[in-house]
Amino acid sequence: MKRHKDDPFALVAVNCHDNEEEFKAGQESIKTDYASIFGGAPIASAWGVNGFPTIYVLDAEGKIRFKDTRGPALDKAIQELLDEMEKNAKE
Amino acid sequence: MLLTIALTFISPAPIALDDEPPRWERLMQESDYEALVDVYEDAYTAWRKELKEADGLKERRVVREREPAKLFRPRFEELADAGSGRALVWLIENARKIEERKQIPAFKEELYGRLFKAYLDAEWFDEVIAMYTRERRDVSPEAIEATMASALERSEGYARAQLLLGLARYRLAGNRDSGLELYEQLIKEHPDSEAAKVAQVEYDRLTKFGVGATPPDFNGQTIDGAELSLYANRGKITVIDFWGYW
Repeated sequence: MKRHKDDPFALVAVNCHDNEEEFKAGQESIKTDYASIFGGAPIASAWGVNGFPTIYVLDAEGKIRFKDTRGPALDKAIQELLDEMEKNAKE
Repeated sequence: MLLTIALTFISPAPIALDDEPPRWERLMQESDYEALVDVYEDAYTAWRKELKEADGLKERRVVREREPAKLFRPRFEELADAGSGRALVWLIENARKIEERKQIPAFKEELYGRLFKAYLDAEWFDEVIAMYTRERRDVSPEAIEATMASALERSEGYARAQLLLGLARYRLAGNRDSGLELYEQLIKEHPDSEAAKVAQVEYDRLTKFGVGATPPDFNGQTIDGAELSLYANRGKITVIDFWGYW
């Protein structure tokens, strides 16, 4: 994520189902360095998400372009959208 | 008077079931589906226990041979012939235990054929549709399409609504638009059905939150009370990560 700090890129993390205690305990063992919405279960439910983690990638217009991509495929998806954005800006 | 006295003497002794192993060989004569399933499940639990306690490979093989589903198969077949559709479902669910691997597709085809012929209006038929449309290994996609199409022609009301829902879900995997069209058809044709309500929820999720859709905004607070929202990031490539520690 740090890699994209100068790019038009954002991460919206939604923490689901952890209570405050679990969340704080989790932060002590694996600290996240990004802000996360806490108590996001209702959002996940509206989106029909029932497995975790579930990842969506949206383009600059706010359209869902990828779902459930992770690892190298996720990096590739983000790069593809950044390139596309750059290309559109030039035109 | 005398008779009453005599009867009190010969009244049956309490049945001490707790001390004895389940007599499922005898109880197998149950002629009611629910009762027979109960007996089978007891037998299965007992068999699992026996298998777990079996000592050594050889003994385990002997116990494994006594898998109770095979023993119960003729009884469920009798019930099915006597008109119990649930017994047909049991046979399908246990196909792998009671039938040779090579014979399973033909075995299932015959049983599903009977179910789709006679039980479309049963209140449990939605379970059959869900099972059948997931039979990717034993039933060909062409057969699934043909069976569902023929059932749709012959059905109305509840049964038809359930079939449309099942077919929409089935089609979605291969052809998203075709699945969505069937959801629309169901909602239009059977607006007051339970199936249409379920369809509407699934349809909304796919169209509002599927790939290609522009989802509505959401917002919330971090554990420290800072506000975050999706739309605040418009104009940027945005990754949404639903996650949890637990």
